This record gives sequence, C-alpha cells and structure tokens, in this order.
Amino acid sequence: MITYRYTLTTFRDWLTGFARTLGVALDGNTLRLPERLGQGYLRVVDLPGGLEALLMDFTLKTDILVERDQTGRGNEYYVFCCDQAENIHKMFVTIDEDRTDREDSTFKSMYLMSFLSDLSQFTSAGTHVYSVRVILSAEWLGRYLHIEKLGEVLQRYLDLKAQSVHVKDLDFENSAMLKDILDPTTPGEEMKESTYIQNRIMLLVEQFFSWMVAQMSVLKLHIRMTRDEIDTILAVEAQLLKDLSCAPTIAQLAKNSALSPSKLKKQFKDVFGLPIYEHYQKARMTRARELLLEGGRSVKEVGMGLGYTNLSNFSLAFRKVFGVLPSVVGKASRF
Amino acid sequence: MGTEVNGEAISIPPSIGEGFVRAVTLPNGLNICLTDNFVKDDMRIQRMRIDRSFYVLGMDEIRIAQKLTYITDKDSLTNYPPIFAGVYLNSTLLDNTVISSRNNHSRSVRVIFDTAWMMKYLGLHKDDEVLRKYISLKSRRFTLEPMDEGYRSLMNAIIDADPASPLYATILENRVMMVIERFFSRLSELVKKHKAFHLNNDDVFLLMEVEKTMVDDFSRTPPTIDELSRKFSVGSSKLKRQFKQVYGLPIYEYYQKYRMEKAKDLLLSGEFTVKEVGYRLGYQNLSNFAQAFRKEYGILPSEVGGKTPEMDI
Repeated sequence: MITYRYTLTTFRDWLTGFARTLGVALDGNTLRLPERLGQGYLRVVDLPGGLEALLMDFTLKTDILVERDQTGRGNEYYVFCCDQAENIHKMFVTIDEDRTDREDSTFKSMYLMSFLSDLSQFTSAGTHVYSVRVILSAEWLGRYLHIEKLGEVLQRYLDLKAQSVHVKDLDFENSAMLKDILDPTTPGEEMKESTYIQNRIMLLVEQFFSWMVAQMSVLKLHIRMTRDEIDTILAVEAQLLKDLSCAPTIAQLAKNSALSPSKLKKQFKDVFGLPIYEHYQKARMTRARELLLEGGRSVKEVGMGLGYTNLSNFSLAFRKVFGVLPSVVGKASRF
Repeated sequence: MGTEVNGEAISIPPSIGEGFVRAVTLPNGLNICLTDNFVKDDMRIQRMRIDRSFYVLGMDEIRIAQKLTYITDKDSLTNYPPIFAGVYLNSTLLDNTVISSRNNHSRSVRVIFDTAWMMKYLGLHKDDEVLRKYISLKSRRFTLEPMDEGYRSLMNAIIDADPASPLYATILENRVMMVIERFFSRLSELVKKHKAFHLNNDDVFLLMEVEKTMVDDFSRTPPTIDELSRKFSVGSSKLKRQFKQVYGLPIYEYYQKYRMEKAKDLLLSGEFTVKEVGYRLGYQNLSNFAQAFRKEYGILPSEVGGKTPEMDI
C-alpha cells in the first residue's frame, strides 16, 4: 500500500509531494503514472480567473491511503471536489473521527471539504478515479457567492460535515462534463484550453452551490446527526411523500427504517422542523395548490386525487395551510 | 428616461414603457448590460466612436412592431424580420446607432472587453488571423451570426436569472463565458475552413424566421419543408442548403437536437415524469421518445431520473 501524508498549501505542492512519494518525476505540471504503478495522469492547471485546479484520471495497481493534516494552512479555504470512481473494491473516507465507507462499486458525487478537518481517504487497487478539484478561498467565495446571503447556508452545510460528508450525486450531465474537463475537446485552436476547462468547472461549482442552497434550506440549523442517520431520515421522507393520497403509518415507517417510533419522530422533526404528519400534510396541500394553479381540474377532482372523500375536510385543511379556500385558488387561475 | 438608477438597474417608467436595463460587473471583471423592455416611443441610441478599442459582443432578440435600423459607420441595416435574433461583435472605434420604432420589445445581453482580456482568456494574439479577419472591423462589415437555440437558452438564462439569488453573479458569469466561448470557437472554425457567410442579409433574416418557427413550440408537430417553403416563398432546396449553412445542421436534425435538449432539461429539473416530458414534447408514443432520446444522449430518459410518478390524477 502507498501512503501519502500531506498538509495542503497549493495543488502544485501537493502534486510535487505525491510524485516524490511515488518516486516519479513530474513532467511540467503533469504526473504521468508509469506502467509499473498503473496508468493515467494527475495534472495541475492554472485557471485564468486565478484558481488552481487539480485534474485526475488514473488507475493505480496498489491500494492507496491519502491523509491530510489540517494544521497546514492557517487561512480559511474549502476544496470543491467532483469525483467519479469506478470499479471500487473498497473505499472509505475519514473526516476527523467519522468514517464513511462507500458501499457501491461506483461513486459519483460533488462535495465541499473544509480546511478545518483532518481527512483521510483509502482507495483500493484497480479503482478508476476521475476527479476535478479546486481550492476556493474565503476571498473567492466572497467574490462569487453573495456571502451575506450564503454564509448561514455554508455554515449549516459545514456543521453537517463536521461529522460526515454530505454529497450531491452527479447526474449524467455532470458526469459527462467531468469527463469533458479531463479530456477536453476544445472546439477551436483559438480557445485557450484552460478557459475551456475553467468554464466547465465553474458550471459544476455553480450547480453544487445551487443544490446546497436548496438542500440546506430544508434542513434545520445545528443538527447533530451522522450522515447515515440523515440519509435514513431522507429515505423516510421519500417514502412518506411517495403517495400523497394515502400516508403510511408511523409503525410502517419505523419498521422500514429500522428505527424505534420515538427516535424516528424525534429525528424527523430535527431534520425537517415539523412532525411527520404535519410535514406530509404540508406537502399534500402544496401539491393541491400546484394542481389547482395548473388549471383544468375542479376542486373536487384535486381533493379526491389526494385521497379526500369528504371535500369540506379538504377545504378546511387547505385553508389551514394557505389561509384561503381551494375554490379561490382554482378561480384565480382561470383568469 | 427621466428615472434614477436603483442599485444596478433602471426600471422603465410606466409612462414610457415597461421592463428594465441592468448593468453588472462580473467577478472576473467583465462588464455586461442586460435589457428586457419595450418602449412606447420611437428611440434613437447613438454611440460615439472613441479612440480606445473595446469590443462589444451583443446578443439581441427583438420583436419588431414597426421598424428597426442599425447603423455602424456608413453601413446600415434595416428590413429586419418580425423577430430579429442575432449575435454580433462590434468595436468602439466605430460610430454605432440604433433606431428603434415604438413598441419594439427588446431582450439583449451586451458584453464589453478589450484585447488584453481576449488574450488572457482566449489565447488570441494581436496579429491573429481571427482578429484580423473578423474582429478588426476595418472592413466595416457586420459580423452577424443568427441566434440559434443554444445561444437563446443561454441568453434567456442570463436575462431571467434572479438578482436576489446568492449565486446571481456566478450564474451570469458562467453563461456569459459560455456565450463568448461559443462565439469565438465558431469564428475560428470559420477561419480555419476559410468559410464565410455568402448569404445576403435578406436570406439570413428569412432563415431567422424559419428557425423561430421550428423551435417555437416543441409540443406541436413542426411544419414540413414544403410548408415552410410555401409559407416563406423560398425554394425547398435553397432553404435546406442555407439553413444547414447558417445553423450547422439540416432543419429536422436541428429541430430534434434542441427538442431532446429541452427534454433533458425538463428531466434534470426533477419536476416532471418521463411521461409528462414526452407529452410536453409532442410524443404520442413514449417508446419513440425513449428511442429518440437515447439516440441523442446514449441513455434512456428513465435513466436520467426525472420525477417518480406519484399518482394518477
């Protein structure tokens, strides 16, 4: 097994240290893996906007453990990562004391790492790693993201991460963009490759932060739960909202999630800020409102579709959430 | 306009019209101007030449109520189609005047940059062939490219972005950079192939109408080539040839490409089921939709995700 321990200053330094660990000479900004170690490359690119990016597309023949010591860099920074790993036999990430194992043979996700934590990552031999990383300084975040608006969201995200890695799955378009960055097909010779790469990295960064804003506004501040616990509650929510015409019982939900009913109720409220059935009811009424605004359906049809046999119960429930009767919403949309 | 700047924008007063003009400096230093407005009066906007050279990359979609005239130096363009949709580059070394008749509705994005910026981001050199041929503008010709659906969706995303979003500046910058990338990649491709548009403006304007007709509403069956040719009084072989020349793809392939792109966006939004997306794009038969999607992206729409069907209502 190869072990590489580092403190992060710049990716250029990181790559130099990694090359030394492997006993391979750097070719400019690129580390090409010789046949005896594996195949592929790791490369540092200076982006025109002032960021430094680390691009990796490789397979190693041995297991590798990479460990970061957080004491390296005093000032605040974050590392944005967009990773896709295939053919995983074993992989785990440890942030401070919290270890997360990747269960599947593929891993595709975007996430942000804080400078505050100790970090280590184990990757088994034969894993094909595709990865793009950029270091985002506090100054950069201030310039690109409206930090007064985003500060709280970022804090919330990092609070979650203090004990876990919270990740956004890559959709097929993200995945295609990642591969495009690693093997850029620049359209014209006149286009600088680094600009082409930068434009696509920035789109990924934007998607990640948009997701984070949407995601964190759902989660309540300062919850102290592990990633697995949060994932379980998110799965419970998905199951709860699967059929808005018929809610599962708490007993069913508890059984499926292997939690006790009281723990389930407590954790659900911690994450979503509302008790289970109130959350369900809110989603149900929001859906009712959407359907009414779409037009083409009567109040009766919408109510029945959402499982109400008694329409006046539906009207009252709707008014409780939105302050007006559903018939008012239905009418408004017709003009 | 007799109004004041509020933050980065002005609102057109109701007595004069509706909408806004907004000027934003992006985090990477580019300066851009966005408009989405209509003005009830005739309007003449005249830009005087200066000695320092800046380039302005513009993309405009203008619904012309009566008339639009565009004058650069001694060159003037008028007789635009009912909806003008173009992307162009011009220089501050030349005078530039736009005369817009009352009630024109204009949506536009303008980006201003200088040679130093281009060299840093695009790797262009002062004596570059691309610059010399297309950008130096000494020839006083318009470098006008019709706006295709790819540009249009970028432009709409820029103009319609929510200024209250914490990501506003990033959203603008990323899309502006994609517009610039697209524009210069195409230019350099043209230079490499020693190709230039040999079409006259009337032909280009007619193609703008054809293009708009094709992509206006994907839920409708698009017109056939014969129908297009009758509607716009142009021979079908000329129409097919010129469309491909200007938009890079044959008419139906173009239509299908952007129809599938729309499908992809709807699916990725997570707000629609595969079935809903298929219907919205005019597919009666969902397996046809699935096949067409796979042809474009190599995976089935159901594999993209989309919303899971909740209930039959």
